[in-house]
Amino acid sequence: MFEAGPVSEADFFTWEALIMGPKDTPFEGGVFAARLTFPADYPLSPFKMKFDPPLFHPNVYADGTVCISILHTPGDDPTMYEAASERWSPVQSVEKVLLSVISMLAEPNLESGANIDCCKLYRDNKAEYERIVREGIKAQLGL
Amino acid sequence: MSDDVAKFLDADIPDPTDFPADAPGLRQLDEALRCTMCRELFEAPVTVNCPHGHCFCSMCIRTALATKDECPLCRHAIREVHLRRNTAVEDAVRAWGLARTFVLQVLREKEEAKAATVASKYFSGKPKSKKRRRTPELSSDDEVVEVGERNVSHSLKGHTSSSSSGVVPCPICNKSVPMQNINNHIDQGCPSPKDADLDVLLSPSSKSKGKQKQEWSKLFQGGGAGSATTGSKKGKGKSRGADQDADPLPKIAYDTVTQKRLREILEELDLPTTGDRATMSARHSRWVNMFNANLDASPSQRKSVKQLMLELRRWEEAEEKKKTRAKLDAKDFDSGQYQKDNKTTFARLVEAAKPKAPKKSQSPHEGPPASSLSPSDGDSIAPPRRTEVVTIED
Repeated sequence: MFEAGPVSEADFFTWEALIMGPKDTPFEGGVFAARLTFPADYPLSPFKMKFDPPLFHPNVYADGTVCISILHTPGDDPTMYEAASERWSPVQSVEKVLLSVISMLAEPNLESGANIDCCKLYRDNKAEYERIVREGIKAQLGL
Repeated sequence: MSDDVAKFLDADIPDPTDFPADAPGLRQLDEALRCTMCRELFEAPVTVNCPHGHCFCSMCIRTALATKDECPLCRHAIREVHLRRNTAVEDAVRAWGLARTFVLQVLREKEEAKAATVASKYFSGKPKSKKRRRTPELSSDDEVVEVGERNVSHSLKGHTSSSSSGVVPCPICNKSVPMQNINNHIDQGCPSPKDADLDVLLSPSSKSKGKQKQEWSKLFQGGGAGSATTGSKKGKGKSRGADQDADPLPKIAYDTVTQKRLREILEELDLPTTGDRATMSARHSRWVNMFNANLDASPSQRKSVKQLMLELRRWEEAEEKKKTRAKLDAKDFDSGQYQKDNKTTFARLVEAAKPKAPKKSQSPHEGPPASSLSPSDGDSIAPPRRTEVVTIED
């Protein structure tokens, strides 16, 4: 479902992850590359995850940064949408986070959207949303 | 740096997946004796006061509690003063550290014997060709077990006698110890290497650069002189004997302490007093955590103060490197200045690129190259551990 590892041997703080789109979702068949950036005090603070190229998804910002509660430290959510139990903890691992991201691809969280246009589209016209996602994957694969 | 990286990549990093998935319970055992934060075998394990009684390395949980007062696993509120030593787990880890290498060796030999039997059976074609090949899988399996066991007991004898003269790494402290001394070494609680060894590491001759380094080496070099000047002070745990029953060090609210007082506190602890306020605070809190975590190990497993100081210095050097790296990555990195500094280089590159300017921009082909698109189910690799990081940055 996914693979991850350091980009180069000289820097273990930057990883690349490849995620396969989950089955029975519009993302099926796609392969999405993301960059993981680890802070100096990892695992006390979470790493950052950024899809490159950016992904059209309600919980992914326009620049590709993933907005998911498991990658947020407790205390940086002013809107209180996220329960403290879903936040980062030093026992989380890359594996668990990537699994959460895969389930996020399948089921977007509209309550704390990052891409508002995408959120609206998902809510009001899901068919069109799915079409755009599929188009994106096709373009990415060069079909 | 690249040397260190190469060394790191060559190093065999123990991991639960060293054990085959079908060996009953071994992977789970190795997993169970590892801290969920650092993924190493527990070092000075402590139980926290959450309802589940979760267990972590003392140093790991102390560092994590500085960020948030909750159990990293179940998020129940816990407090550092309620950490309790878990001696049962500590003993189990210690024994497993010894057994681990042995078990892996036995497994490997069994595997080799199996491979050898299979190979001889199918390629030499000498003795077994007489047998009917009616049920090759079944018969080969039977023989494999038999031969494998014989081989194992065989080679185990050979193993002990052959390597008894050699030097082996201690499974607990990783120091090189002559095989015949390993039991004594462990029974005596992994005595620290002779001070001469440490002094080599700490000596000022090792390219001392900058005031801080000199300060460090002064500390280690003049152990005797240092204790003479600070003899009247408390000087917690000067020798191994002294820190057997040492009290844990108190924490400090750094905001309420003047810089002068902070320096005095560091001096009392025989720590360097270089750097600004933030550096000194970080050094002190790290030392307090290291010192107190060390007390959570059973007395025979504790490190000497000298060893702790060496670790503190390594940590500080690694922090220093991380800071420089972060500066380059930082958003407020002065790109204008950088451009000014490299103006000539840029100009040259622009010149060099000009004749080759494309007539038409090719359609951008985004996404990873096709070769990397092959869908493959893969395991993620464990996240970088802090201990590893220190090794790299060293």
